[in-house]
Amino acid sequence: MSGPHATQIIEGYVARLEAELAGLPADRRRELVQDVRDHIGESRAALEQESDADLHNIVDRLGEPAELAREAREREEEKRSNGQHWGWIEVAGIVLTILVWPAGAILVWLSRVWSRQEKLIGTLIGAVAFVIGFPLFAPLVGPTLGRLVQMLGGPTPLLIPTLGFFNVIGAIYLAFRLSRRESALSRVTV
Amino acid sequence: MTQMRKGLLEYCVMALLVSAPRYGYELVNQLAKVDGMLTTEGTIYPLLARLRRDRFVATEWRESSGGHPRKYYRLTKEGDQALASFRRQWATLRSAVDEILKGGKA
Repeated sequence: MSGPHATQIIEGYVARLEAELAGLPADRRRELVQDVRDHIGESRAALEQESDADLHNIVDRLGEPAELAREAREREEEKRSNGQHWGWIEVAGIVLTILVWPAGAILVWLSRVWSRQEKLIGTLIGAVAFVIGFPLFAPLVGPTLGRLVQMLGGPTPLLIPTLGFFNVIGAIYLAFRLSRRESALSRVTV
Repeated sequence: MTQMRKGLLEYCVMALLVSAPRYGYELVNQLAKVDGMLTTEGTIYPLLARLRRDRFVATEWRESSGGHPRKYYRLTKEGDQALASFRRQWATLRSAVDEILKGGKA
């Protein structure tokens, strides 16, 4: 036997939840609503006799829709970390950040273990070296453009160590962020 | 405190999956037996979705005796490794905190 107002209580709760979940990707929203509906179904099946009070208890224990939505957003935004931090793509990304900067940066962006912010910082540090070092490549670019670039910056022997220096800094930064991730407890802290 | 409990909850969920795959409602009931672990039952579902995206757990639908399908969660190899690493760190941290708390009391 269903509680007299079963549909109202449950659908009311689900509707409030759906409203609170606006802003999350559609598939996350769908999944959570389905999980909650399944949970309510299981809870109801476990009852011998169902009253409206039972149904209110079930949705109360689930939590306020706003709280569930906040939890879903926080879990969505948590840093990606899937346990495999040092795959070939991460190692190659870091090594190539030093040796062949644009290729390294691409690999870093393909990796899933760094957050967007970390990728951006790592890339920008490397980009500084690339931009400063650009006059060095000027002779390869073309006679007209090359001369222009040489006029603006001009290659100096000093630029070569600078170039390497920034790329190494970028690579160290990325490696450091990754090693911090090694600690499983890092997910427990605030 | 809430943040700490949230973080610890992930590993408790994974630990519950070591012995056998379980479905969501079953996990909620297991956790509800332990006082203070789960304040609102619904928050377990965003956590499970998150663990799946991190590939610490995998899901599989199975038919129940009641005739409706249930989504079962099982621990993956990655999840198992993460849990093992957590167990080691937790043991160290727990004894360190206990030591300090005992000292503070005396």
